[in-house]
Amino acid sequence: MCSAKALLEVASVGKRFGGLAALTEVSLSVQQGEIYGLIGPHCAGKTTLVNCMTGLYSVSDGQIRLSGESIQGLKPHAIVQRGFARTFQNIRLFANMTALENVMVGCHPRSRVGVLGAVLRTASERREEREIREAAHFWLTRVGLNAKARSLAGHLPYGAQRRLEIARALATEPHLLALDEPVAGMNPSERRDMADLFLRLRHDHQLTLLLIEHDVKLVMGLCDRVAVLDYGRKIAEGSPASVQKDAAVIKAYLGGHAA
Amino acid sequence: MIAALRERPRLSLALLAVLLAVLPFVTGVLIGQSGVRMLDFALLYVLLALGLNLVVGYAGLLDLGYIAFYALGAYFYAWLASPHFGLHLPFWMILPMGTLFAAAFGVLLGAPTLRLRGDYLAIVTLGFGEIIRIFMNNLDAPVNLTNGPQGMDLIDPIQIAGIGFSGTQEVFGLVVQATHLYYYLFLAFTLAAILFAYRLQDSRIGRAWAAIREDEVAAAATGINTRNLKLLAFAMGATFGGLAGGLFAAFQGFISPESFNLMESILILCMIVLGGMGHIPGVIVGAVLLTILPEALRYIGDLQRAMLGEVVVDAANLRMLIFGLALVLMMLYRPAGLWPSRQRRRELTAEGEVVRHEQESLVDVQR
Amino acid sequence: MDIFAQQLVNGLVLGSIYALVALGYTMVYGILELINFAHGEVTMVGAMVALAVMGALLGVAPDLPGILVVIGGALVAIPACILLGYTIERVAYRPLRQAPRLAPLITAIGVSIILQNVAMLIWGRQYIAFPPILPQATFQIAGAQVSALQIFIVLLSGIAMAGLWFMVQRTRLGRAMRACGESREIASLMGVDVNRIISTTFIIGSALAAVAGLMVSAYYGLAHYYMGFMLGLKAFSAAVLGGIGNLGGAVLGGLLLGVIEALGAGYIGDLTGGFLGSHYQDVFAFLVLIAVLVFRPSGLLGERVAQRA
Repeated sequence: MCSAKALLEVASVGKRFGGLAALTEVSLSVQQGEIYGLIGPHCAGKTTLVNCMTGLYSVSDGQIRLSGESIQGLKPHAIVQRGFARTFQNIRLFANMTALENVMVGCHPRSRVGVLGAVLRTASERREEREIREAAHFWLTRVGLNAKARSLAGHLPYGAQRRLEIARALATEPHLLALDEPVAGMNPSERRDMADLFLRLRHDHQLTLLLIEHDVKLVMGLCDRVAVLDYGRKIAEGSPASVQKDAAVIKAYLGGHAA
Repeated sequence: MIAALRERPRLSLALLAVLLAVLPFVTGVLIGQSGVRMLDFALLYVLLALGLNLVVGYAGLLDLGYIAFYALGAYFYAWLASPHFGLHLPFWMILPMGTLFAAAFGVLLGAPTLRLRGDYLAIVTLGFGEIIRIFMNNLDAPVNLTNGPQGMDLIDPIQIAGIGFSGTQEVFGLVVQATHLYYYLFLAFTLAAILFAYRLQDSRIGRAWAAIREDEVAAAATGINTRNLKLLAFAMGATFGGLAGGLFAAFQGFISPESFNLMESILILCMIVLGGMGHIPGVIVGAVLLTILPEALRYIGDLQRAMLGEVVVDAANLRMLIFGLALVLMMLYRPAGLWPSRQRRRELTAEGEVVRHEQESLVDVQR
Repeated sequence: MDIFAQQLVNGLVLGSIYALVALGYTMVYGILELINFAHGEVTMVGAMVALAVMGALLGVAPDLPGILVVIGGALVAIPACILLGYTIERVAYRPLRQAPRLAPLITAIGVSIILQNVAMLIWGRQYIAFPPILPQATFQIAGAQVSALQIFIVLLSGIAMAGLWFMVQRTRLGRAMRACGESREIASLMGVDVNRIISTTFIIGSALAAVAGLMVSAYYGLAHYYMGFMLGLKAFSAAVLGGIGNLGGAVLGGLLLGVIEALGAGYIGDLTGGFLGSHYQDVFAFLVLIAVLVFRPSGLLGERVAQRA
C-alpha cells in the first residue's frame, strides 16, 4: 500500500457517544480509483465511520485526511467542497422538491451567484442557472432518471430514490463518493444494475467509491479491497478473497460474538 | 372567464395593472379616506409578509420576533427624520441605511440561534422581539433615544421631487391626498419586493433554502453552507421588515412601542400560514385578507344597528372574537392555507423528520 | 430585611406558579409536539371563573371562612378549565393532527384570541380584585418576610407536582402517556388508546392551569382578561428553558425563571449602575433563556439529540 496515492486516509479514529465506544482505533486508506468496501455485521459502526468522515460527527481521537489534507473538524459542506460526497443509508432526499431540483441543489457547491446576481438576473446568473440545469439533467440521465425529472422526489419508487440520491451526490462533482448501503432492500436484478452503474461511474468520471454494505455478496464481486468492522474495530482488511477466508470475519458474521 | 384570462397572461396583467392604478380612487369614493389608508397598510403588511415568508416559508426557520425588524426600521427612520435629534435627512438616504441597519440586526440576532431547531428557535426569536420592544419602551433614560412609551412623533413625511406626502397636494394639476401618494409609493416597493422574492425563490439560493427546510443534514451533506444561508435568510427577511418599518414611520408620522408587540409578529405569521406558506400569491392574499378583515369587522356595530335596532355587543370586542374564529375555521378547513403552492403542501414536516432520522442513526450505533 | 433572601422567596413563589403552567405546556408538547398557545388563556379563565364564583359565594354568605370560599372557587374553576381544555383539543387540534405543523399553531393562536375576547365580553376590560379573605399573617424566615399565602402557594404547587409525578411514573395511565410521548404510532400498535391519552393530557394540564390561575390572582390580588398572555409566555419559556417535553425540566425551568426574574428585578439597577431599571426584568428573563439555549440547545434537562450540520 503506497500512502502517497491514498485519496482518503483514516488513522486510528475513535468515536465515543458518552461512555459507549462506537469506533475504536480504526485505520484504513482508500486509493485513488478503487472501489473500497466497508462491511460488517449490523451495527458494527460503519455508518458512524462515514458520519465521522463526512463531518456529521466530530471524531474523538485520530486523524482523517483527504488527498493528504486533514479534513477533521471541517463542516460537512466544506468536505463536500473538497470533493467528498455521500449518500445516506435511510435515503434523505428533499422529498417535496422535484427530482430535478434535488440534483440542482447538488450543483450548489460548484456555483457561486449571490443574492444580487439572483435578484438582478445578471447575464452570468442566467448562464450559471442554465449550466446547473444542464448538469442536473446530465446526472439524472446518468442514473437513468431523466424521464422522472419533474416528479416529486418523495413520490418516486424506492429504487429510483436511491439512484436520485446518488445523482444528487454526483452533481457536487466529487472525487470520492461514499455510498451507505446503496442496494439495501433491492432485488437481485436491481442489485446487478446498481453494480453496473457503479462500475460505469468509476470508469467515466475517475470516481473513487467507498461502498458501505451489509450484504457481503455484492461487495465481494465489486470491490478491489475490503475492510471489515465489528464492534467498532477493524478486524480485517485486504482483497475480498482473503477477507472471506479470515477466521475473525467468519466468526463475526456467523454470530460468534453471541457465544 | 378566469380560464380565458389564464390563456392571455399579457391581457390579465394589463387588467391587473389598471385595477391597481384606479383602486385607491374607487376605494376613496366608496369608503372614503379610511379605506385608502387601509390599502396603504395592506401593502405594508404584504411587504412584511413577503419578508417573513423568506425566513419561515423558504428557509423553514420559525421566527416569532419578526416585528422587531419592522420596529428597528421605523425607529431608524424616526431618528434621522424628526425633531427628536433635529435631523431631517431625505428618505432615499434613510431607507437604504435603515434596511442595512435592520439586516445587520438580523444577522446579529440570527447568529446565536443557528443551532436551535423548530420550537426552540421560535421561543428565542420571540424573546428577541420582546427584548427589542422593551428597550424601545425604556430607552428614554438615561439618554433619551426612543422617548419611551410615549413614542416619537412629528416624523417627516416622505418627500419626492418637492412634493411632500402630507395633507392634499397638487400633482400635475391634480389634487391628490397624501394617502393616495403613499399608496403608489408602497405599491412600487411591494411590486419590487414581489419580483425580488420570486427571483430569489428560483435561484440557487432559493433552492438551498428549500433544501435546508426539507432536511438540514442532507442539505449540509450536499455541500450547502447551512450556517451562512440561514443567516442570509434572517438578513433578507430583516431587510424587508426594516424597509416596511421606515415606510410605516414616514406614513404614520408617529411611532410607539405599542405598534411592535408580539401580537403583530403573530399576525404576520398568521398571514403567511393562512395564505399558503412559501407561495408568494398565497402570502399576498393572506396579508391583504388579514389586514382588511379586522377593519371590515368594524362595521359590525352599524350592522347590528341596522338589523336589531341597537348595538348589542361592542363592535371592537366582537371583531377580534370573529377574527379569532376566522383563524380557527380557516385552518380547520384549509390547513395548507387558502392558496398553497402545488408542490409544497406538506410544509415544515421536515423538521421532525431530521430529528427522527438522526435518532435512528444513533440508535443504530448504540444497540 | 435581606433583599437577596426576600427576592429569592418571591422568585420561588412566582416560579412555582410558572412551573404549574409550564407543566401544561410541556405535557402537551411531549405528546403532540404542539405549542398549545391557548394554555395561558386557560389559566386566565381559571382565575376569572374562580373569582366570579368567590364573589357570588361572598354575596350569598359573607361570613363564610375565607379558605372555604377559595376552595369553592377552585371546585368550580377546575372542572370549567378541564371542560375548556378538553373542548379545545377536540375542536381545534384533533382535526389537524395530520396537517402541516404550523396549522395547529395558528388555530391555537385563534383560540387564544377567542378566549381573551369572550372573557372581555363577560368580565369587561377592568381589573377584577381578589377579595381580601385570606389570612394576612407573615413570618420572618432567614431574613425574609414570608406570607401565609406564599407558603400556601409553594406547598400546593409542590403537592400538585408530586401528584403528577407519581401518576406519570407509577400508574398505567402514566406509562401510556410516556409511551405516547416516545411514539404515538407504536403506542397505538401496543393497544394504547392514543386519543384518550391526549385528552387526558389536556385535562390534567388544564386542571393544573386552573389552580395556577387561582394562585396567581391571589398572589397579585387581581385578575384581568389579558393576564394569560404574559403568564403563558413566561411559562412556555420556562418549559423550553428546562427542556420541553420533560416534566422535571418544566419545574426546574419555572423555578429558575421565577428566581432569575425576582433577583434580576432586585439587582439590575445596582448591576448596571442605575442605567437599567427594574422595567427590564422581562429582558433579563429572556436573555437568560436565550443564553441557556445557545449553550444547551435542548434546554437544561432536554434530551440531547446529536444534531450537527
